[in-house]
Amino acid sequence: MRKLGLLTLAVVFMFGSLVFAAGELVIGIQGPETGNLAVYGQKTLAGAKLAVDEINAAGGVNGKTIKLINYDSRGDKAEAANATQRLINKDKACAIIGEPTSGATFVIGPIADRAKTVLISAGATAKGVTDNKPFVFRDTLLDSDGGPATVKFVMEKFGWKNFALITSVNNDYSVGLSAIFKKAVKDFGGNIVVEQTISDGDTDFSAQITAIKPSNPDAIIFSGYYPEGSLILLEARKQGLKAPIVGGDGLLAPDLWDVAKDAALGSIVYAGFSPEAKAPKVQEFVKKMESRGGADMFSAQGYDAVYLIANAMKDAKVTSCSDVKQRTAMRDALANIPMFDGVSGQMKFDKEGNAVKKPFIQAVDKKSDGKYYFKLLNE
Amino acid sequence: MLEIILKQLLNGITVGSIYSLIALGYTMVYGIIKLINFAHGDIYMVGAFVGLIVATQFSSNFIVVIAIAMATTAIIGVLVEKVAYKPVRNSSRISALISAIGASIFISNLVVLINGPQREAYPQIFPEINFNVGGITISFLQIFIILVSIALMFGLYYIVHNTKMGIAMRAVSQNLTTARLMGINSDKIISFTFAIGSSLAAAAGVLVGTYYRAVDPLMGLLFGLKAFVAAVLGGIGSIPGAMIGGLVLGLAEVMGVAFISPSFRDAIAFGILIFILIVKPSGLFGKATKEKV
Repeated sequence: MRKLGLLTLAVVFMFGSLVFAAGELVIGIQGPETGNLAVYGQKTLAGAKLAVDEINAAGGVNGKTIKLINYDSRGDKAEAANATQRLINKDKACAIIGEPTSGATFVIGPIADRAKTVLISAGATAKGVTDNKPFVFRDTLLDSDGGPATVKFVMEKFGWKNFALITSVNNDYSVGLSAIFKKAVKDFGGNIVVEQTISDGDTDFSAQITAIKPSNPDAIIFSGYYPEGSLILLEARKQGLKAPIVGGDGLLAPDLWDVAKDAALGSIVYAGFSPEAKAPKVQEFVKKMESRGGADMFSAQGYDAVYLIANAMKDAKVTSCSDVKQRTAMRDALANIPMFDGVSGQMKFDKEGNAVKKPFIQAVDKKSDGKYYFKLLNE
Repeated sequence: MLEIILKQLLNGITVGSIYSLIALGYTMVYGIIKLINFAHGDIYMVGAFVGLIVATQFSSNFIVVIAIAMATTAIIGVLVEKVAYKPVRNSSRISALISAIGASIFISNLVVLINGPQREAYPQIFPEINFNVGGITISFLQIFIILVSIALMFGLYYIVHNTKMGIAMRAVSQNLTTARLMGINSDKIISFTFAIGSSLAAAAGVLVGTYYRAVDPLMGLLFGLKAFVAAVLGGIGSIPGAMIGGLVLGLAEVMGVAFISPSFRDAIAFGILIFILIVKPSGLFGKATKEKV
């Protein structure tokens, strides 16, 4: 009798879950939710959750609700691969929003591609992450788009022509970005009048600034991160060099002005998102994110990734994700999506699955109450 | 070109004079109790943070900041000596060395715990004035740092050579047991040495904060090691040696960064250490002895 009861229960649960499962489409999301990269994963997840809540509140996709399943990869590559396998094989995910870092995306990309499951990274920026993997996409702003657009912008808007270039030689990001900046300056008819190198972790930049000063550049392009950026600014002002810094999102942190104070004013950085953007869509997103930990680039890209997937699902009329034909149709719909208007900017995909986007170019400015902020310049 | 070379020379001397101040602490402690005080770099960092607290909370007068930082850090230095070194003074030298490394890790992590690991902005406690001499822009701050360092080193020289304490210090450094037999309170002298060395390191910390306008809890490690190289270069145990060693190291580093590559900054410093240990282990001004670390 007892056994029968258990059996009945089991059967009920099975049917129950089957019925329930038939009414929903699963989107998987994975990233570091704990560990020292936790903020990337948590932010992406928060943005994605908001998008899923909005879509479900509006009636879902193709008559089904979206279920978001998240796994914490702790920033560990092996753990990331496990999470991807689980999302594909156990949860039968239609698509995965995966790994805000390039390193882990390199690992899980091929897994998703082999399983013919769409993967969108909402953060990977390294070269080649999506190459030769038709099912792998990313909605991140690439430095190869952001750098040249920023150089063009400052040359046209401020008439700057002569740049100093500082590269941090023990930082891959900086070395790669410097090459992009260098080419862009040349392409748009400007000059790199002096080049200097530093190392991450240095604190004394007196020699480099002394070497730059006689060339009197219009701006200093610095391709590294904010800890060195703020000290370079201080040293430049100390030596009487007034040129502002131009850089990538490695400089995009409040720490820049926390340390450099007024020396940071006028510094120009580009990024994949700006909460200052006036577009109603962005303002609505910023407002909704207030109660969910605040809007930033990662949450914006997570949010956009969900909408990209949902749009592709609608276009391909996806109803069941265990069907590989439907998943392939969804991939094709995503690859051919016409200009998508996301909160992290307008984008569409190139043939390798990289988002082609415009950067948000911002300058450090000071409000009347003395608070510093990034002012959006190109809107 | 000449202008750049002169400016880089000035950059090098500025950094070098700060190295010298820290190196003095290493060399004095080594001279007295034959201990490489690896916590000295962290004492320097603590000095910088004490200066930061004074400057942001109480007074941004440079004299007040540096004086309070030096006094407070001197007390902390003596405390470290009493807690970490005195109990192991009669043990093997390796025990004292390990205790020093432990003290170093403890101090830097304590500051991380209290402050957090991030870099802190240092308030501007000295006006940034540049003046022109024959077409060369000279930062008054750099000149000031060099002058303060020189003044402190002369002060130290005076204390060591012309005061009763200083004479006792030299006696203890020559032979601790004999000095004790002559009625010198060696414990007091050792504490005094730590106090002087720590206050010089604190002065260096405040100067670095004023110069770079930023400090962080882990800055003591590398700066301390560099200053140690300066002390070895000059001949550990020798006070003039530490002064010259710091200047040479600062100049070599800045010139290397300016004219070779910044990647060589640390390589130059530690390359000098290896070179000195091979060619002249007693350093530029050191007395040749049989036993060296």
